Amino acid sequence: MRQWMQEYGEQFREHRSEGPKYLDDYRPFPNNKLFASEPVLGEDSRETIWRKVVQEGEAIKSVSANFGVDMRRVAAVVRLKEVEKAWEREGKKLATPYARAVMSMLPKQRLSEGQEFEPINEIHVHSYTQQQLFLPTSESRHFTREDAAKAFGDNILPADKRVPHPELINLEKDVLSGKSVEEAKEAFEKAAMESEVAAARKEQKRLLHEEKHTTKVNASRFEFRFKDINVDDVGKDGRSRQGTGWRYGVPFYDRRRGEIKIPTKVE
Amino acid sequence: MKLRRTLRFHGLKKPRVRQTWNKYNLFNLANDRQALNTIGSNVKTFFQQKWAAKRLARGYHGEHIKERAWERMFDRRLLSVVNMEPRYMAQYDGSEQASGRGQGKAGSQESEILEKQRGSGKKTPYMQMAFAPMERRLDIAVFRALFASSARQARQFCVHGAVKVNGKRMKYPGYLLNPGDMFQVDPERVLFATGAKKDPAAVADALKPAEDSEAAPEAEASSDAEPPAEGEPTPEGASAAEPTEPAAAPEDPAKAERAELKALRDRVKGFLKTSFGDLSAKQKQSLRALSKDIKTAISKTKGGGEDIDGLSTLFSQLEVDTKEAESNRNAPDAEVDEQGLTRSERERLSELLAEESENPWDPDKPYATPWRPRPFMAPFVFIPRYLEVNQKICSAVYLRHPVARAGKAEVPSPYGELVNELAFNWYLRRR
Amino acid sequence: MVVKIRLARFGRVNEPFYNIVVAHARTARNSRPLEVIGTYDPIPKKDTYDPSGKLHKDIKLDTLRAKYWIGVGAQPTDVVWRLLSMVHAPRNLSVKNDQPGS
Repeated sequence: MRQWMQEYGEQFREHRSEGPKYLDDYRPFPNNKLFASEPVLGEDSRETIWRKVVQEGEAIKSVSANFGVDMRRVAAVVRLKEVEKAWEREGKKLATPYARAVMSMLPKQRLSEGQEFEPINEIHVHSYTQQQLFLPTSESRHFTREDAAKAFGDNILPADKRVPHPELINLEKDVLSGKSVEEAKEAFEKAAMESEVAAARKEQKRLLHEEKHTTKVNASRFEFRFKDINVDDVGKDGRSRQGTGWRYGVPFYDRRRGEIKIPTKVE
Repeated sequence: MKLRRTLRFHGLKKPRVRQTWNKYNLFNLANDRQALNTIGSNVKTFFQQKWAAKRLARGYHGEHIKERAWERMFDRRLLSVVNMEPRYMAQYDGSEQASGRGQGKAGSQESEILEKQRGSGKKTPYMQMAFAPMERRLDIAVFRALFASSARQARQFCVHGAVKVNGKRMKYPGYLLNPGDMFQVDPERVLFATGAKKDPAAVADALKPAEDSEAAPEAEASSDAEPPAEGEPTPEGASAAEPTEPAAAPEDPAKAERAELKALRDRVKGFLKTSFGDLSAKQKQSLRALSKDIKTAISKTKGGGEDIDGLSTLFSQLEVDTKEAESNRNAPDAEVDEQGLTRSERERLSELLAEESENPWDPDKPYATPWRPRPFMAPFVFIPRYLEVNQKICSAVYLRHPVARAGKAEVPSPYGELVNELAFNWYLRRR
Repeated sequence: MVVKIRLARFGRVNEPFYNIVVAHARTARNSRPLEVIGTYDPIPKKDTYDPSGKLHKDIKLDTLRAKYWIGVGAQPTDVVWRLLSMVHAPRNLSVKNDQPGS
């Protein structure tokens, strides 16, 4: 061990150069060839994403498609950036030296339009589709992805509907049908914006609905929020899960041994 | 919960790879071959192979989690994804893959894109996902986001209430993150976990002279004791400084600087004399060290940046709590501006000062200050793709569950397919 | 027998949670009531993304049923009376005349 440390291990003691330094090239675990340390978004890339989404008001979907960054990641970057800005405004101390040191040890990738950071149009492999399936059909049948989905199960959607970026498929279709690339892109951006606006509107509608059915009363110390419910939700036998309130006649297992007692979600 | 004992945690005789940034762990990671070679040996029965593999893998993956808890977490469904190329999806509706099969045609004309979509012949390493449910745990996610130097430390952070999930304190390290959850760790804890250790010798050194100065004769004669201590070099410093004085301002920045340094030293001395009684022993000590350092800086002065660099570190060291010290620190800055320092030098100075204000010297912190990363950190630093981390605010978002895709698995595991497959088979409970 | 609108305590130790129930006065507190008309969570909560830090309490209530039960002579207990009077002016609510025209 001492000898190894002196001869080989010493280079890992201090991190001097910019860029990662692993035991084996880009592999932190030399025995696992299937895991490599993948690049992360650099500081300026995050800033770019935040600027595009918040300041220039681009749709998350189009930012995601332009830079080849997963939609969820784009949203997360913006969310974290917002918190960072809030901290700056409040004058809270950021862990800048730590951030600088860690970023110097990580592989980074610069964002550029048209270059992929990660695959963005991924779908989960549904467990129903993992089995081999023999389906006798006629030879002449035009057997599409929709048919395949139906064959696998009644409730399985075809891949075209499951992808996170169906708008991108439309873009390619437009290009194939002879539209110019600019035109197709414009249509894509419009569609992306529309889908985002629709989602926002849906959420707003939900909030409005909730607001309509709650009465807020400001008492001395607390605000009391009365939510309207319907007693008939409990059903005829009074045991439906939709009913309001602690249920009667149902065993409550929260203290039983082996029951998971830690919360499963935080909102 | 009572944790497993950590005796010979990083043992060298029977090496086990752990979730830590320890240097012994680095050694074990680099020289892990022997243990692996024995696993698939022909001498062992299948049961023994599975046992050995599971033992190795569990030594790394959540070694602090009880077997029963992990068995409950384990899931035989392994998540994988396929990237659907939009161009291929637009071009074909899937029927081309089936066409002509019954007519005895060899196969459809497979497009290049489809080939790419299938991962260019690479297999999806499902077995590497055996420990994927572990990565959902809050403590392990904190470790993966590089906010703690080991999974056990991450666990402690949770238990001690330093971790928040979606803005609410979450004290359960076993909380399973849901996609979209944001977790934050107290930055002070992160700096402590990832920073270099405080040097115990330096701490002791800093304490010893302080005790001396508290001794009665020292404190009483301190103003007198100061000059003799610097006695011999002072004439030198003075002689070095005197000729520069007439020529100081106009042309040579180095000379100006030297004069400046001297002025500074005088100020410190004056400061020591005037407000000595108000300062604590430690502060006195640091001030004296400063005046000494300035002296050596003067004698060494030849050129630009380095001295300023040294000086500004001294400034930061001077940053003690009292107002007197504060004023002392500010005053020279103003003077530097009055003196004819070149603009670039002034900029560099302010840059350095800014750097130090964000990474100051502070003896009260539990880690070495100014903060620097701990040794042997770099080979362990990676962030898996299912997390998005913002290091500045020590927060991260758990984007999605880790998945396997063609040729890659997202679960960071030190072992290859053989070990993971055998371990997965162990937990399938058909032994 | 008198019908009352009252609270039935559920939840855990140090973590109360109440059903607002309509029940006969002489039945046990947590026995099956005539009807559950709502819930009352007395633990004040914060909105996660509200910087003001104002606390609120959540109540679920079927106001129509509450009105109906009071109309047929059910007697709210003091606590329930306080809750009900927050959503409706007391005169709309009932015949209870210990707080005339407040």
